[in-house]
Amino acid sequence: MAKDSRFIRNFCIIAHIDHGKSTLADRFIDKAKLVQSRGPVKQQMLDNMDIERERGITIKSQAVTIPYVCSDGQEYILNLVDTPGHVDFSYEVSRAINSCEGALLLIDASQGVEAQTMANMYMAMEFDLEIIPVINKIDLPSADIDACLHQIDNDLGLDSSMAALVSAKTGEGVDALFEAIVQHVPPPTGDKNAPLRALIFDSHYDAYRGVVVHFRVFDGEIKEGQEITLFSTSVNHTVEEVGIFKMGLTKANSLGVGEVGYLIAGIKTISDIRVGDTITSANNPTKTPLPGFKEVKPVVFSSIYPVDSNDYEQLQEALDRLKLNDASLIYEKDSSAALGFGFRCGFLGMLHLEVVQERIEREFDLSIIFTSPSVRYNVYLKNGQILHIDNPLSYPDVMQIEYTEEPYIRAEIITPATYVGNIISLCIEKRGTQVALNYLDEKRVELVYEMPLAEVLFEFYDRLKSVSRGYASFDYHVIGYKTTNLVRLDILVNSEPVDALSQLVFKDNAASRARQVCQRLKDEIPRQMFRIAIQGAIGGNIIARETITAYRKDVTAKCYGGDISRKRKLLEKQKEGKKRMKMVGNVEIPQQAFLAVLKTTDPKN
Amino acid sequence: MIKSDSPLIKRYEEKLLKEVEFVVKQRKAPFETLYIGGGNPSLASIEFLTKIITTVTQLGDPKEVTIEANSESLKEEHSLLFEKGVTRLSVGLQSLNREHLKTLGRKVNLESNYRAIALTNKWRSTYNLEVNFDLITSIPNQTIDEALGEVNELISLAKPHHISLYNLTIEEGSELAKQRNLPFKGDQEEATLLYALWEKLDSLGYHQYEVSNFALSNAFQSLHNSRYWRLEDYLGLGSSAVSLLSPVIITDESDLTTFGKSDPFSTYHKEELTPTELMESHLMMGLRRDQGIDKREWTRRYNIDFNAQFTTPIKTIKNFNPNLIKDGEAYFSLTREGFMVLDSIVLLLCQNL
Repeated sequence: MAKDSRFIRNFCIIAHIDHGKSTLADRFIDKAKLVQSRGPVKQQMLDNMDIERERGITIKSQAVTIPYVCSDGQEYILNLVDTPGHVDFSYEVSRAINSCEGALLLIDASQGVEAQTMANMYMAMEFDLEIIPVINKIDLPSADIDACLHQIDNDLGLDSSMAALVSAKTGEGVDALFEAIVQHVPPPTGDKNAPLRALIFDSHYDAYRGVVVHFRVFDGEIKEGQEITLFSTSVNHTVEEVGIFKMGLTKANSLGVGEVGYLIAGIKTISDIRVGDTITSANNPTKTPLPGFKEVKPVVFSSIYPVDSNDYEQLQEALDRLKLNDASLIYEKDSSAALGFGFRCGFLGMLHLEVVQERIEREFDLSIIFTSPSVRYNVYLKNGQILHIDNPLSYPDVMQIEYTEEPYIRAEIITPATYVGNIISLCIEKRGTQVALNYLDEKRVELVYEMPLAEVLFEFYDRLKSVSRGYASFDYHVIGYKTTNLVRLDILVNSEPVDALSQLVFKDNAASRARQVCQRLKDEIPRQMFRIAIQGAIGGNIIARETITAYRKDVTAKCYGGDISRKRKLLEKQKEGKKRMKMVGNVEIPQQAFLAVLKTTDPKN
Repeated sequence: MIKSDSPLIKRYEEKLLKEVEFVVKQRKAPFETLYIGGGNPSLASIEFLTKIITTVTQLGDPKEVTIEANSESLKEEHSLLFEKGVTRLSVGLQSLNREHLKTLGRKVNLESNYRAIALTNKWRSTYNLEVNFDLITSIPNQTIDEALGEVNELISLAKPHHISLYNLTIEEGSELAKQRNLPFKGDQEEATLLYALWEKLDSLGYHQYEVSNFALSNAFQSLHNSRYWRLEDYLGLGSSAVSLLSPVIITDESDLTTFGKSDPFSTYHKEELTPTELMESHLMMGLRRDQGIDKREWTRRYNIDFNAQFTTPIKTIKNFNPNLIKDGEAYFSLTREGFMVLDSIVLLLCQNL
């Protein structure tokens, strides 16, 4: 039986890192557990990846349903939809936020309003969410509630009288916050008699049950046994089970307007599901899908190689396993003279790449090397052929090339007016062209730029955060291709080109990039028995050079009969360490060096 | 400090003697060498040391019987041992500079060092005794001139048959390691210093037959230690002692206290080395000698051709710095420059096993 949508509230929590988002979510879950009378208590939202916890970001959207009896005696269903927190996943965030009517804007009582607080608020405002400011950690001795209230009025332009005061740690004020959610977050609206329209905001893979689709119903009703159509692919499935995220997955007969839940429909792989897609009824399909659907395409490409070439099959297995829960990860076989067999992969952005890297290393215990990430270029050949190239190894001979094009994006940046100057300089440095500069109010400015995607991917976000002291928010979408001047930068170690370090770069950036890569390698490659020359070259022209001098002494002073075992164990350890190195032209390059090359900015900046 | 007549030492000595007696009983041929060392055996009673020596020499006289001593524990009465068959005395001096001795934090002091040198000079006039002195170099604040000066001084005072010159090793957790503000030398500086010292010793007639060991003539090389470096079998008894009975390596796992408290042969741990581990050990030890690895011996032991086995790394070395190695028909060995980066070369070779 579908719930009356008047008694449903869908909300998300938006917060600066460390302002207590997870702890507050935990309190909500506790609440849900208390109401739950039977059944095993399973971790729901806390069942996160280590990487998420460490980086303080959420990568997958998650949801939990909390039954709440309001002071008026009425039972409400509160759905907390947790959202990813990074620009790489901004599309997923937008879909998750789109499933809500309200947002809790969390502010640490001792820290006050911080950059991300504002950036997140702007995003929530874009989706017309009702924002409830929540001052958290009021139990701390250093809490300054008055200052926070003042900031809510003045810096955020919200009504501080609406602010909820809570301590997620002690649970103080959480009940009042529930009341506030019921009071201020509007109930979902929709037509229960219209054809089914439900928004997919996430999905996960269950080894026993296949793909579990996470969705929010906008119109109509969805129930077990129903024949559904996924709008974008027109593929039909029979719903085997629907339910809500209460304690793990809790089966329900049907879900109606405004409800958030899951469905299982014999869907084999997560790639069959597209976030943002509309689920409709096969028998009575909607004519107009929910707006905002996009086919998410990888924009950054890089090859992954196992450090130990014997690990190739394990790497394949790791990628297959990750793919089960990550539809946006794509890969195909690749090979390099320097690194052997590997995979060419596509990612949503650099964070996505880093997450995949960390998961392969931690969850599958593999040492891997990533090659320099690249966008996908259009290369027009003199013979009229067009190549789409994201792999420097497949870049054709320059003599054959007529011209090249690179992908451009439209960047929308919202920032406090103070940082406009810094941000404009940054955008110019990144080859951006200004499209618009609008004052949203006296304090907030919206900047619109067109920029090469390659410039945005690799360091733009971090630099933007740094020049705006974290206050600027940023979103972008790809707008198409523009002519560019591309060259392939090769890196030579002891005169041997290391194909895995080659990269496609804008010609004017090549020299500085070459110097940077050589310097990085010099810093990361330990001195060895032999002198090492590192060069950056375009074609036959050397444009950068560094030398690593050989170390002069590496010898154990004393080694007698009693030392054999100890020395041999040390040798074993060193051999193990060498497994994380790749021999290139007789030079041992540590995995770290390949990774350092990926970073375009100096960590000091 | 533990007194040589303490019950702890008594028990230790009794058990060790039992083990030595047992081993000697099992054997028919005389031992080639005997080495009484590790820790500070000069602390043991002359009586006990005599018992050990007489027990071992029952089978016949070894070619070399060495005893180790710290300079400050060396006494007149040690001369009795030379009558019982000790042919070689190895004395730890560490340094002939008061400041550097202080930095090393050893119990050795300058006066006892000079006294030990005088004693050995006296003994050498009476007994047919070979003498070795240990020196340490690359001590923080030690200049090249000071280091060279110490070697000069030692040779002019004693002209020993043998010198062991060790580059300072900072053991993890040691007192020295804790003194972070000491100006420890980097590899560049150490290399410069070592090259200078090696040159010096060479010019004074001391032949570098092993990375840290120098002999006035080939006859004065340590026979016992050379067995280690050739990876030949040896038997070690006592706490922390190691034996190699190829392919088995036996390590004693007791300490000074627990050794005496346990039954004979109850504290040894046996480990069988794989052929690869044996080869690793062989490279590790063998390349320390100037003569290097005997290729025919290698084939005989491991049934594999040395050249074939190490084609790739040897090619690499020849490509990048041919001055590190001497790849002869019969022997593969390191040059002085190769000695300086021995551990890296061994690692490179072992990666190809």
